[in-house]
Amino acid sequence: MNKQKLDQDQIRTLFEFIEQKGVKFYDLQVELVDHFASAIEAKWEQAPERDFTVLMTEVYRSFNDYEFKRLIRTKMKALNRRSWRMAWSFCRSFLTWPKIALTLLAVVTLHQFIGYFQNGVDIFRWFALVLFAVIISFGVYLYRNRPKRKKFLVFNQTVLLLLAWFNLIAIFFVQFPSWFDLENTSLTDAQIWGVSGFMVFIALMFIGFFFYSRRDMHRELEDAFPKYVR
Amino acid sequence: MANNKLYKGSLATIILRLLEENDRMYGYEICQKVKELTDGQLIVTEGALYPALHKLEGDGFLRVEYQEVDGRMRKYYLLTEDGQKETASKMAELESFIKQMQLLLDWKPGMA
Repeated sequence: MNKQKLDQDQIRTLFEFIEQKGVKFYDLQVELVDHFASAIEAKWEQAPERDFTVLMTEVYRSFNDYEFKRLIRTKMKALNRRSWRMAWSFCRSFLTWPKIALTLLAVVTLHQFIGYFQNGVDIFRWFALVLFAVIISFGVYLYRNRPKRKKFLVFNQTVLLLLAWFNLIAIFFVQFPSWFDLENTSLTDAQIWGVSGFMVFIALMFIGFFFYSRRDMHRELEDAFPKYVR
Repeated sequence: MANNKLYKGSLATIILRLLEENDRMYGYEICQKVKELTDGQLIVTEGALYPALHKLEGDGFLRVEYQEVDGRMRKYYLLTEDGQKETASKMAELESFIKQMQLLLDWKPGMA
């Protein structure tokens, strides 16, 4: 005997139901819809005459509103952690041979460049300016390439959150000299080396997040959700 | 019904162990498999399962695959290389914990 399966209208109803319960992310909706559908179909194996809507509410009772919210929170945290982990591993790879040569070259070049500034602390503002320019360009790129569908993935939210973090770092660099009363001081050579190293680290983390880690997650999602990932 | 609180800290190990044996599984399947293997004594709730799966995914122990099944998308979880190592380590940890617990349970006053 053929097993009773959900039809497309019922699947659509499940998507709407889950969205009404506050899950706006499409990738989470997909996972929950499949869970609900599998649970309903299993119940139909015992009692095929049971009503779809009643069963849907019954399955929902095992989750409740709180569990749905917790699910969104944990999913976002998990993706965030994954981005950090991948960006960090990208960054670490620049401390091993042969990439370390590139890292050292970048630090030395930056050190030389900072030396041209009469007031060493100006470099913080220049760095912030470059960071703002990169963030804005990247934001424009994301906006222009935004998914045509309105559905949103947790991945998109994570990228926006990370951009906000880098914005905070840029603001920190703008404010840093005045907070520590460094306006009219010149940096020592050791400090310039430290600042150069730190800036290269921030740049590597940025590339790690938005190119390496984002590309990896993008690849994973674009096969499953071609209309939602750009 | 078993006391589910006792299992709570072992949920990640249970998931990893199941995936080690089953190549790839989806959320509902994991819930059902645990129920089946424990004769319905242990119920993994959806509210506990999905956050645990997402956490393991975020930690790099699981990767995912999507496939269309019965007109809907299904998300499958698979162990990564790190996940395989983590499974071995978690299993060893759990086995040692069970041994220690057994020693405590078998202990009688007057024993060394």
